[in-house]
Amino acid sequence: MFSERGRAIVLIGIFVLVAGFAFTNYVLTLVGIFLIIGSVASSPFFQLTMPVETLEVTREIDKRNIFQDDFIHVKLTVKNTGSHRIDSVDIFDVYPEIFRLVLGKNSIRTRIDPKQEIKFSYIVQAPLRGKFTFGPTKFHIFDRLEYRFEEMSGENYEELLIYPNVQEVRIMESLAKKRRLGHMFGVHKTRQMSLGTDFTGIRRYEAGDEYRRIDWKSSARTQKLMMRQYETERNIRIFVILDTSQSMGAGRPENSKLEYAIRAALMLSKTAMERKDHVGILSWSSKQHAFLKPRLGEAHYHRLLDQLAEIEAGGSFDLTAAVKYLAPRVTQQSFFIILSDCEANRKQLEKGIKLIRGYKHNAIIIAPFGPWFEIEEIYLSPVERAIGEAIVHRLLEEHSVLAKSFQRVGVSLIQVGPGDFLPTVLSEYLKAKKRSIAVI
Amino acid sequence: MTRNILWLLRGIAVAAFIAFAAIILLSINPVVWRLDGFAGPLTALVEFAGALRDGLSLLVAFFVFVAASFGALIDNIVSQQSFGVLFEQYYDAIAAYFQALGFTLPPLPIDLVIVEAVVTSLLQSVYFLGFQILLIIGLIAGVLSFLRVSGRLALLCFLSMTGIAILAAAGILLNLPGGEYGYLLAPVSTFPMPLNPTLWLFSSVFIVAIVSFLYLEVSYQVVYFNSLLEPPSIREEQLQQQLQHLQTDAQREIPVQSQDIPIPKALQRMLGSDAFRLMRQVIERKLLRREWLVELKDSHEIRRLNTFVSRVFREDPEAEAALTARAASPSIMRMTTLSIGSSLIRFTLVIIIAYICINPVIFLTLLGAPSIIIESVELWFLLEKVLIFLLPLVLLFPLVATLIGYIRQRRKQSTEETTSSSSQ
Repeated sequence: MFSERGRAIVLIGIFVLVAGFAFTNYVLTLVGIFLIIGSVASSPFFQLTMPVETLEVTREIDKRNIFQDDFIHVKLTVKNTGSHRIDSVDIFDVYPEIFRLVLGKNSIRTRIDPKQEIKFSYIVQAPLRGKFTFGPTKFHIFDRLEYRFEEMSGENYEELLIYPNVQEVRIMESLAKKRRLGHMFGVHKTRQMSLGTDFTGIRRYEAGDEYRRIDWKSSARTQKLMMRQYETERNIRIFVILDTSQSMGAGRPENSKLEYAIRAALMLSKTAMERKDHVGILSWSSKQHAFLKPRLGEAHYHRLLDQLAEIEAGGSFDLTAAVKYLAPRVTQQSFFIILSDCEANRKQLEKGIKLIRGYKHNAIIIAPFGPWFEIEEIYLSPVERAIGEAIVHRLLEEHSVLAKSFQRVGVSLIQVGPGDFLPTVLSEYLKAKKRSIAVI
Repeated sequence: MTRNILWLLRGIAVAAFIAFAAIILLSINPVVWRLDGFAGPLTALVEFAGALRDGLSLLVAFFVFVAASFGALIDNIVSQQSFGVLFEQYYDAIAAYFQALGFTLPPLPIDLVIVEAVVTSLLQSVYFLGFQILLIIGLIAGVLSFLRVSGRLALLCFLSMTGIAILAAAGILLNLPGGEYGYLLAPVSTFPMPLNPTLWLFSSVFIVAIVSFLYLEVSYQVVYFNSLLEPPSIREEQLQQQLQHLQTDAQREIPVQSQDIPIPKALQRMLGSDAFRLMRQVIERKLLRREWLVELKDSHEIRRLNTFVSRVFREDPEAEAALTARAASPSIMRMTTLSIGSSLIRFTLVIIIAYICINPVIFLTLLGAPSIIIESVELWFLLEKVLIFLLPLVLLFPLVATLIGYIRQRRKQSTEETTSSSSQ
C-alpha cells in the first residue's frame, strides 16, 4: 500500500498535471507525469521482493522465570532467507507495556541482504510480578523512497513469569550467611512448658501437674509444693489466606494492597520455613486461585513463589466459601493469618471467622487500610479531600465494628498501612510462635 | 567513514537543490520579482472609506463594495467583459437587495475607473507577492531539508518551487499587463515537444522537468541513506556513553539515612540491631518513598544493572554488538552500488514511460491505430493526449502489484495448509 509520502507524491503529481493541462504547459505536465509514474512504477518490484515467507525471526530471552525488578536481556535475530534484498525495514519488538526499557532499543531500521542475518538486543526491567508475554515482532517494510510500505508480523511470542519482589528475603538470606549461626538464632524456639528436657525454672504446683516433676528440695525449702519446669522446641502450622478481590488491587499496580500482601506472605513463609514451621496458602476472591497445604522445604517455597506470581486481583472476597473449601483440606489445627482489606460483605466475614474458630483454628486478620495505600502522592482538591476523609471515617467505623465482632470469638483485626504491613505480619507470627499456637 | 559518507550525501543533496532552484528561477520571467503595489490600493481604500457616509450604511456599503468587486473580478476572468460595467451591475443588484431591507445606500460613491484600478492593483500585488512568499518558503525548506535530512522539508521545498512555476503559468488567466502568455519564459512555456527522442531529451522542457524530479528523488535517496546509516552510529555512541555512566555511577556510595524510625521490638529481636538497620533501609525504600530514597533506589538500581550488564557481556561475547546494533548496520559500499544501479533503472523506466505518454502518436502508429485517430487535431495539439497512455500505465503497475501479492499470499496459504496437514 501507499505510504503517507507515496500518497502525497501521487496527489501532487495529479495537481501539477492538471495545472499543466489548465495552463497548457508542457513542463508542468511532464513533472506531473514523472511524479505519478515515479510513485507507481516500483510497485510490482516491491511486491515481488516482499519477504512474505522468507523473514525468520527468533527471540532469545536469558531467563524465563525472574523476580520482580530484575533485568531481562532480549536478543532478536532476523534472517532474510529469500533471494531478494529488503531495502528498508523497521523492526519493532513488542515487550509488555508495563516493562521499563533500560538499555538499548527494541526497534531498529535497517536493510537486509539475501541470506543475511542481523542481531540486536535490549534490556528491560520487570517492575511487576505476573505472567507476561513478549511479542509479536512487527515489520514495516518500505521501498527505498518510502513511497510504499507493507506491514508484517512475526507470530513469535514468549511467556515470562515474574515472581514477586523478594528483596527483603534476599537481604535476610545474605544476613544469615554473614552471621553463620543463622539469623533465627535464639528466637526460633516455641516453648512447650513441662515437656521436653531443657530445664527452664521452678514454679508453684497447680492442680493437674504431674507428681514426678515435683522438686522436693525447693518444696522443702519453701514449705510449698514446687514444680520443675522444662521446655522443648516445637514448630507451628501457619496458614495464610490471601484476599485477591478487586478492592485489594486498587491503586497503583506496584503499590496495591495485594502487592504488599503478597510480599508479606512471601516474607512470612520464608521466615517461618527457616524456623521449620509449616506454611500453607490459599488465595481466594470469589473462588480459589492458589492453594498449597502447610508444608516446609525449598521445593514448597518455590511452588509458593510460582503460585503467588500468577495471582491477579478480581471478584469479591468470600471468606465463608474459603473456609468451607479449606475445612476438608486443612484438618489439623493451624494459625490462620488472613490478609484482607475487609471491604467484603461484613456478614460473610463474620461467618467465616466463626467457622474458623468452629474448626478449632486460631486466626488473626491483618487488614491493609485502603486509603493509606490508594491516595498516596495524589494531589486532592478540597472537595476530593473532604470526600476522601468521609470515606476514611466510614471505613474506620466499619473496621471498628468488625474488630469488636471478631474480638468476641477471640480473633484480632489489625489495621496496617504500607509502612507497617511487613513488620506487623512478622511480629504477629513471632507472637503466635511464642504462645505456642497451632503446634505441630 | 559513515559520517563522511553522510556529509558527501548531503553535498549531493545541496547540489541537487541548487540546480533545481536555479533552473526554476531561470525559467521565470524576472518581472514577477517586484514588491510594489500595496501602497496604491491601501490609499484608495482609505479614500473610499472616507467618502462614504457615517452610520450603519457605511458598513453595508463597504460590504456591498467588496462583494461587487469580488463578483465582478470572477466574472471578468471568466467572461472577459469590462470590469467597470460588471462592477456597476453587481453593485446595483446588491444595493437593491439591501434597499429592499430598509437601508439607504449612497449611489456609487467613486469613479469606476478608480475601483478597477484598486482591484487590479490589489490582485497584482497579491499575485506577485505569492512568488516571493513561495520563493522564501522554498529556499528555507530547501536549506533545512539538507541540514536536517528531512523528506518532509524536501517535499515542501519541491512544492514551493513548483508552485512558483505553476503561479507563473497561471498568469495567462489573470490578463495582467505583460503576462498575457504567463510568466514562464518562452522555451519552457507552451513550446511544443519534439517527437524525436534525442531532441526531446535535450529540450528545455524535459531538462527543467527532469531536474525538478531529480531533486526530489535525490533528496529522498539521501534521506534513505541517512535513515539507515545515522541511527546505528548514534545508537552505538549513546550506548557506549550509557555503559560508561553506568560503570561510574555504580561505584558511587549509597547515602546513609540517619533519621530514626520506631523499630518494632519483635523485628529487633529477630534480626538483631545490625540486621535490622539494613532491613529497615529496605522497608523504608520500598514503602515510605521519601525524596532521598529515590536517589538511594536509583544508585541501587544502577549498581544492579551494571552487575547484570557485566554478566551478560561475560556470558555472551556477541551481546555488546547486539546491544549497540553494530551487527545490524548495513554495508555502505554494497548499499551505494545497488542504490545507484536501481535508481538508474528506475529513471530510465520513468523517462521511457513519460516519453510514451507525451508522444502517443508514435506508439499509436506502432500499435496500428486507425488513421482517423492518429491524424486528429486533438492528438497533435491538445496536451490532454498524455492521458491516452498515462492512465492505463498508471493503473497497470498497481494491478500487477496486486496480482503478485495475491499469488504470493495464496502460495503462502497453501504452504501453511500443507505443513499443518503433514504435521497432523
